[in-house]
Amino acid sequence: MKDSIFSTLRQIRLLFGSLSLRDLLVNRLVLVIVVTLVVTGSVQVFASANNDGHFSGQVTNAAGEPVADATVVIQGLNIRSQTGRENTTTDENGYYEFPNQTDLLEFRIIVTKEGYESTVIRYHLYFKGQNDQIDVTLHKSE
Amino acid sequence: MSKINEKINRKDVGNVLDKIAVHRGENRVDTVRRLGYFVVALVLALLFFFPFYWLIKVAATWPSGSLYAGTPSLGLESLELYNFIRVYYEIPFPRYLFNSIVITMLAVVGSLVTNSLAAYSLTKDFVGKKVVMAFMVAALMIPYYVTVIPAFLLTNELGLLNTHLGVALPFMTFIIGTFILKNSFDAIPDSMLEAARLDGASEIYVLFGVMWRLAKPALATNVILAFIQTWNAYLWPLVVVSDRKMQPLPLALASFTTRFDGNFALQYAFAIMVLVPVVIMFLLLQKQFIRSVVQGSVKE
Amino acid sequence: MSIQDFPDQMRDRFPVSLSRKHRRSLIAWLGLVPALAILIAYRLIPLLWNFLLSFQNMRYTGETSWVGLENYFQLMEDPVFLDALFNTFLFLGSVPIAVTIALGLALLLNERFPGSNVFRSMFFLPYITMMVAIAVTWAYMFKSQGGVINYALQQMGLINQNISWLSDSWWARLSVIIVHVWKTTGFYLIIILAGLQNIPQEIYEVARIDGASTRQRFMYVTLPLLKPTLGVCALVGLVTSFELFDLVQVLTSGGPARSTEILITWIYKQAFEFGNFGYSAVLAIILFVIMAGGSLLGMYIQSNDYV
Repeated sequence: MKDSIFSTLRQIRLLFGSLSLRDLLVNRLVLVIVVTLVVTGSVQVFASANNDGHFSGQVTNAAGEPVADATVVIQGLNIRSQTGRENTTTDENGYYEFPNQTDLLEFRIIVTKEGYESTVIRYHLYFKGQNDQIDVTLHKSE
Repeated sequence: MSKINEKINRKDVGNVLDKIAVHRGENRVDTVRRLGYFVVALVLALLFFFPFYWLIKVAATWPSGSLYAGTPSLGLESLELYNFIRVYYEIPFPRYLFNSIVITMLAVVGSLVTNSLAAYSLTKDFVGKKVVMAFMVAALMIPYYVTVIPAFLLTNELGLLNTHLGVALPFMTFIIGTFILKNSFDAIPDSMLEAARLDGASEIYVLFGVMWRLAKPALATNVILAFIQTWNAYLWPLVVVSDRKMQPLPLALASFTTRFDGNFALQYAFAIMVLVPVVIMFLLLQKQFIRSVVQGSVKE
Repeated sequence: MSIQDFPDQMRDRFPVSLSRKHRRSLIAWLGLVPALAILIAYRLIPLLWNFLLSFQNMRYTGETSWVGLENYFQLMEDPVFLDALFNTFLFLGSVPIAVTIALGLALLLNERFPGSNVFRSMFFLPYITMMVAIAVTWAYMFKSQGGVINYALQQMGLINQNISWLSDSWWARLSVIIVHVWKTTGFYLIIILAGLQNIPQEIYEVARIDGASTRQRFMYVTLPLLKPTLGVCALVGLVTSFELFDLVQVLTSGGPARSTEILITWIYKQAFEFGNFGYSAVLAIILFVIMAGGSLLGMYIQSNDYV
């Protein structure tokens, strides 16, 4: 019986002996899995490098001149609800910015200023807190 | 080629068709007929495939407000992949994917081993073989959903509710797979097995070393049938799993649909994420898939 | 007397000798143990347990009380039971429809023009996809207002008003049948294709030489030779009804006012929404009788060879 235990072990080694490492690694399934993991990993790395949540842009009028003191409101949109609004105003060069918007994915931007039509833009990011920017063009109201 | 500027007339078309026909070894009438078949089949296949086209189109449309208007548009416009990202943030998709993968792996590996052992036993001639065969053929007639409620109670008794093993256990053997493997093992000549045994191989080695190597198509059939059965299973996991975190993909999709009722773009995006693995597997292994499914139904 | 000699010691102490056949039987039975264990545990025992359960009343806490034939009497007072029974048979009618369509497609694809393999895969793809995902897809397509099917029908001028696919009991039944036919046609297609390719071409040559027209060749050569294949389709059609639970539950959830309930969805609801485990066991027994009868019928049809 001692012999049979040894012979079993020998057979198990025989069984796995013919499986070469190359067979195991280089086939279509492993390739697909590796490619998926690499793509996912690189996307994660890119996302974590850019997710400070800094959102900004410039407001100009139809002629291309910057519009100062326009009110810019940002409102996050969830599937069934909306988050609270945050607002800021553009500086003398028409730039606005919303720092620390790390929870932002889909949202609405409403830009208003006296004498212009209020503009609503619906926008989405590709991951939460992506650093991005939108430039808005205001048209004079009739 | 010097005739480019002349009008094409019927004789030219006839010449081209003749050339093609001679190349294929038949006459012109047959080629035209084949062309006709191709066109008809193309139209039918495109019509048949429409739901998949619609699935992709709706899932890739953002903003989806246009979907709730009265008239949907059939064409492709405003294509964006945003819905998939939204779904990814709303639900723990990797967790559900993991559950599905674990349950399916358990079922596939378990069914390979179990069915192989049973098929190997069935190739021998032993006391009571007729009874066992009759039992297995009779068990084929018991559809699994008739057994669902008591099986749920049994799983409860075993303490396997809400576990991967509890979901995978009934799928770890299926009679059709055993019979397919048995037919394949029967086809291996006895002389090979005798030679292996004479060389000192134990029974386990004869099964896993010799027979498995020679019956690879049947093993592939087993794997594919088990995979399809378990990956797409809805009723049994629904009964066994009540914990949200342990849900496999079909359950996750169904509960997502009821939670986000009316939000079709997101539902479609989730459905695509669920379908992609199987479609990719099918595209890579088409012939084997079709052959496995045919073998599993036509018990010759 | 070291540990290395222990196995030999054991063998000397307990000599066991079995005849060759008995040793083979022992090994064979050992190999069957896992498969038989799972089969008995998840097929045989639940079947018998159903009988036991049908005479009991079970609560969520697990207490059971013996109530005799009360559950069987509840059958007659249950208005949904007849509907569920009717629907179970009605949805089985999708099998002949799908087989007929698959037969036509198989005759077309059998001509082996370039690309017929691609088309075969295109038709087959729905069969292996998840029924839940398919149901989700078709649910939006069937929407009365804004669903693409109503839109297409109106554009083609076939209907004037929107059909309320999922809110009218008969249209809902039709929608279930449509989706089921769509999903299983590819499956029957490849089975029939395999059967068609088993018919030797010489028979067609002989028939053509004898002067048979195309229609006659189809009726008197193809169809009779396809009978075993069609029998397989009938048998297998029963198996495809397994996924009707997913379809009904996700597409119509039992339909407008329980009009698309089938026995299996009603069993599930009775057990897990209303807690009537005993009554659902009765329904399961009835379903088993129907399915077993159908399987026997299918096997009988399949075994009618043409030899």
